[in-house]
Order: sequence, then structure tokens, then C-alpha cells
Amino acid sequence: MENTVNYHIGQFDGPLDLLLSLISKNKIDIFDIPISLVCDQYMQFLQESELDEMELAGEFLPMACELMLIKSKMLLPRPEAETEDPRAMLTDALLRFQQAKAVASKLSALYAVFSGRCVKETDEISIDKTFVLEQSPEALVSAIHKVNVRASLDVRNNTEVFTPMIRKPVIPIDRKIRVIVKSLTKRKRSTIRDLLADVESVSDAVATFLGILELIKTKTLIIQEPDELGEYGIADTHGIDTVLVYNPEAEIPVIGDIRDGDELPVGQLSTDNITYDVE
Amino acid sequence: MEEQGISIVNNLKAAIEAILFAAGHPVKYERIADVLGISVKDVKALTEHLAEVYADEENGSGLMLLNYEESGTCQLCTKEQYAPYIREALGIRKGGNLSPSSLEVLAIVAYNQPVTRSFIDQVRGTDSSYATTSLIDKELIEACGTLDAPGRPKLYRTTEKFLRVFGLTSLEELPVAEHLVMPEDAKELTEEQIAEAAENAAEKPTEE
Repeated sequence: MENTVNYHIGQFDGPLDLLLSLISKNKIDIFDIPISLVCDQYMQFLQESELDEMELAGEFLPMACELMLIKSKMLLPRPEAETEDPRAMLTDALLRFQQAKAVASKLSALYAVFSGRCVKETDEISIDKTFVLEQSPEALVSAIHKVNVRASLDVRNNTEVFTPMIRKPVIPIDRKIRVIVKSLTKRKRSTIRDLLADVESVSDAVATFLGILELIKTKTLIIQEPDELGEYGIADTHGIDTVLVYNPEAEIPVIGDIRDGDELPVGQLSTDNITYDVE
Repeated sequence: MEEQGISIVNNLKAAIEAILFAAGHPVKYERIADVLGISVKDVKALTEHLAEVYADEENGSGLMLLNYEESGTCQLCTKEQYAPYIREALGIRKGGNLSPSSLEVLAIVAYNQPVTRSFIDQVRGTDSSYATTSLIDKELIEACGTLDAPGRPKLYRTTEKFLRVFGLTSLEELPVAEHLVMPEDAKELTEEQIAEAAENAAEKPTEE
């Protein structure tokens, strides 16, 4: 049995490769590896490696530890047939590696021959995007007719419908407040429904209602308690409306005096600290 | 009536040929059976017959039909002896051979599949990630699930392309390590041819 090895690490494809080489060199039975001998030779090999191959040697170190571990396990007294052979995993790996190496060279020969078998890439069969005529030209004519009809009815393009919208005046709450006050100066009291009776549009109604709220806030209008209802009994309001009473001593939250026939300029108006933009 | 029967069969064979040509990749027998409205058994019989027709040198076909038993698929490919003509006509250089490391990894996967990357490393006794990744790129091995173990490592097996480029139609045809029985197709190669191929493989530049 040889004790010296004169190989370079670079020749081997890893520690198992080296081990297999040691095993075949020493004519060792792979199923009964003399661990001590193999371990010693392995370590000797690493020690005798050229210094410039140290970076490769790093790969071989884990196996060196593994061998030492197995060697020490083998040295310890083992209870008969109870524990696994510490060499079992190593033997298994060596066998598989040996098989792979043996087959690799045969595979190489096969590949050299049969890699010449070429296959095609899957064909890209795209959907035909050409339009195939299935309708008569008359269909086009009726379609354009429908488009024209729709266009003429389009409200957006119709200036007659559009103009009043942009011309619609802003209704100032101020004006509404004057109207309410004027009306109540005569009537003394009224329900909200009555006050809203003459509105001409939604904007008008909103402005009137906001005016009412403002007057309630300044206590120009006072909400009457139900049991104080004089001529307006609960039956008059049907329980769903409010009776408002005019309080002549309260401030009127508008600019300037109220006179009959007072007309305020159109546009936004503000009453002191209130500004409303009612469209 | 008999003429009608024959032409139906010819029609089916022609349809199979057209499908396999357009697909390029292996097509399942089941798929063909569904499309043609016949049984899988009939598809197999037809493809076997087609394979024979192609293989017969008298018919002068440069194609062959491969039947993969295990995956239940079939594929059209060119006969390897015409590869030089194809390469020259298409201006393709011959690809490098597989490196010894790649072949070892391939062998480990082929004989022990499915395997994890760490199994491969363990058997080779060295880090094999480069070779493994290269083989995946070449579509010779593929992922096929994960192992029920911590980290859920991916399992790998060989592909149909692997079978094709090694002249095999099933994994059973892999050379048995101890006795090294040759696969079906390789039987046609003489010992000299195998030796010559091995020599050529050694001379050509290897990748990696």
C-alpha cells in the first residue's frame, strides 16, 4: 500500500473524487473502508498540496473533518449491531458518485450523437385580423343616419337649452329676507309653507328658506310654541309645519332700509358676515 | 367502402403530423385523442405506425416521431444524421458539449430522481450549483415539486428533451451502472462509433 500521493488538488472534482481515487489506488473494498488509512492518506494529500492551490483546498476541508469524525467513531467501542455503521453515509455517497461518474462518460458519447435531433419552436398562429364583410353597405347608411339624429338631439350642443343655464341669476338671500319681512309685517305670522308658496324655482326656494333661518337666528322671526298658537291651531299646521311670528323689535340682517319696491342689484350679496352663493 | 376507410385513417395520420409539426414540443396523446375524436389507444397505434414510416429509410424522410411512454406524449424531430446539413443551412455553430461536471449532475438526477440541489451537492461531494443551473437553462432538468422538509427545497427531474438528446425514449433505457446495457437506439451504433463519438466529444471545446 502506498503511503505517498503525488497528485495536485486541481485534478480532482471534489473530495469524493479524491476519495475514489485513493480507494482505487489502494484497492480498497468500498463496502468496508479502512477509515484510518484513508483518513491519513487524505490528510497527507492536503498537507502536501502546493501552496498556490490552497483556495481549492478549502473545498476539501469539510470532508477531512468528516473522515476524522468517522475515524473517531470507529475507534470507540460500539454496542453490537445497535448503532449504524458510521461509514454508511460516506459509502452511500461514494457509490452514487461512482455510478454518476461511470455513466457520465457513456452519456457524453450519446449526447454527441443524439443532440443533433432538432425540434421546432411552437408556431405562433396569430388570429387573422382582416375584417371579413358579413353585412350589407346599407347598414352603414342607417348607422350614420342614427348618429346624425342623435347629434341633433344632443342637449349639450343645443344653445337654446344651454343659454338659460348660464344666464340664470344668482338669487341673493338679502332680497328674500326683505320679501319675507315685508310679507310678515302685514301678516304678523305665517307658516313656512306659506312663505314658500310663491317660489319660482328650486334656487328661489333654497334662498327663501335660508332667509327664514337667518331671520330665526336674529330672532326677527320667532318659532311659536304649539300651545301658544292663536288663530293657527295645530290643525292648521297638521303637525308638520312651523308657525313663525314676526318680531318687529328685532334687527333685520340686511344692508340698508327696507322700502317698498326695493330692488337689489342682481349678483352676490352679503349680509354682514354671511355670504351665500345660491345658484 | 374500404377506400373510404383507408382515407379516414390517412386523414387522421395527416392531422397528427400537422399538429406535431406546428406544436414542435411534445403533445399529449390525450390531447390529440380529444381533438380528433378517437381513443388514446388509437392515437398510440397511429403514432407508432407513423414512427415506423418515418424511420424506414426507403421513405426518405429526414424526420422521426418520438413516443414518450412515461409522459404519454409524442414529438416530431429531425434525424440526427442530418444535423450537419441543418447547421450549415441555418448557419448554426455546433453547440459545445456538456462538461464533465454537468454530465455528473445529470447522471445523479437521472438515476435518483426526483432530487434536491443539496442531494446533488452531497453525492458529488462538492458545490454543483453552476452545473445544475446550467442544466435547467438547457431544459435538460426541471423543477417538479418540493420536498416535505424544512425549507421546502425544490425537487428536480429530467425532461423529455433529456431523453431526446440522449437517444432514449424512456428512463428505463438509461444504461444500468453495473452492467452498462446500452439503450435501444444506441444498440444501432457500433462500438467503434461510440468510441469515435467519445473522442470527438473530448476534442471539441466544452462549455463552462
